[in-house]
Amino acid sequence: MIKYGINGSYFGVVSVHCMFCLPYAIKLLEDNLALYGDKYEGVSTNLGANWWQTFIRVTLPLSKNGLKGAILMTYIVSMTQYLATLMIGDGKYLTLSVRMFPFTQAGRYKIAAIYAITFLIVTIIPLYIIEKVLIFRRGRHLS
Amino acid sequence: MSYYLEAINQEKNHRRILKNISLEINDNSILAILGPSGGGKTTLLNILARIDQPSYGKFYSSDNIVPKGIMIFQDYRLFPNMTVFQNIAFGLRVKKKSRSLINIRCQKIMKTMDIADLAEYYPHELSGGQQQRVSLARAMILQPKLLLMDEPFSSLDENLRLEMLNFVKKIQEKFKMTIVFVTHFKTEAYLLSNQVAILIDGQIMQKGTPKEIETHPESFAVAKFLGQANFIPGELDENCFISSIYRGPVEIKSDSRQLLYIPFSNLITVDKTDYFAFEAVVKEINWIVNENRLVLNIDQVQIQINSNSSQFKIGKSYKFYFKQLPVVF
Repeated sequence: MIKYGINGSYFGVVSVHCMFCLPYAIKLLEDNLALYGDKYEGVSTNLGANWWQTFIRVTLPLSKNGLKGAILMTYIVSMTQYLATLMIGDGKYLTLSVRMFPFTQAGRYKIAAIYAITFLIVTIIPLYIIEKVLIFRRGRHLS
Repeated sequence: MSYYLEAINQEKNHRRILKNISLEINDNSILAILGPSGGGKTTLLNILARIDQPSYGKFYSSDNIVPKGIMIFQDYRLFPNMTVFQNIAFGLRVKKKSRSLINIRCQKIMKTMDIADLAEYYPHELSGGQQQRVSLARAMILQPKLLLMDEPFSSLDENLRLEMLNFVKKIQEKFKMTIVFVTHFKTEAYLLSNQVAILIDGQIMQKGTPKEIETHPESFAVAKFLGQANFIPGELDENCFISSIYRGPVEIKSDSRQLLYIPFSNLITVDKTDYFAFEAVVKEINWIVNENRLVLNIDQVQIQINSNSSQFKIGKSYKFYFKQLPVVF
């Protein structure tokens, strides 16, 4: 990325985060899709749906769990990217982990602890929101 | 409207799954495709449902409209993220029917299928029988002319299976549609269908009424699949068969393996006929529902037959006759 001159740019930082996160996201989505195979898509087509209706009404809702896992994993991996952000961002893009790391290095543990708690909150709250928003509606008889 | 399959062939991964299948499916009838697992039954059904295209051959109907069957799958395949109501409404929703029409038709079909109180349930909350009714409703709401069922009763217990068989029969009579269903249980095929086609190793071996199939299997493969029969090896001398238990005239079927076909039922009797079979000693009598299974000893050879007569005694010898000329494959 440095060779291609995209270091120090916002695009470079986003690219390097994607590079680290995409394999996790793809793996989780792929495993989720493999779980159902194409059997429900076959039903949908047989009942008269076209490919777009099948994707919107069947494939996408059935991928919700994989999608949820992929978003969570991507978010966590991205949040913890310290070195890559620092290197490709040329120190110009201050993410939470980039801000926190020097304090732990310099032994300023009190400030580092505050950042750690902040880090915990900004990780857990989105996890909770994603879990609530993207979860399957389960039946009334299931716990 | 009748449906026609003309020289349907299906090849997958250099393997011929279906070989030259030609069939006529009559309007307003129930056709069972009966055969062992791995014989190509589901592949054929997928072609009728247009889920799959044949490598060669044609599937068409007498009214020149491209036919497409609506399928009920072996594992029901109800969309797990949708309620019963949403599952049933799916076919109408994708056809962009109005909300009021969808509601009316859903309520009506759910009432017919006796699942009206399950509308808000999810598939995993239902029993096997309920899932099957929902699956049937999801197909029936589209008012299909051709309904396809892939091993529809295989995961139901015995009582529920009979109940569903009767239910499907009633539905067929009410909606006047054509049903093609595949199964490997011959009783199921005989109970539900007007016509049975035997599919073995990708080929239609025989088509006929359940009675024709059971009493006159046309080939060794069909007879073997139907089971409940003895096959006695021997030699043919013109129209005469010579074996350790029987020596006499026989009817020779085309694919001669020189095996005398003695089904457990409908061939052997103790009442005198023109065709004397053999004299045998009754070795065992086992009770099976409504009749007895006799194990007979004929010069060291053991065969089994079914009889509803209570005259037999273990250890006694009896003369047996063929009701008609026996068949050799």
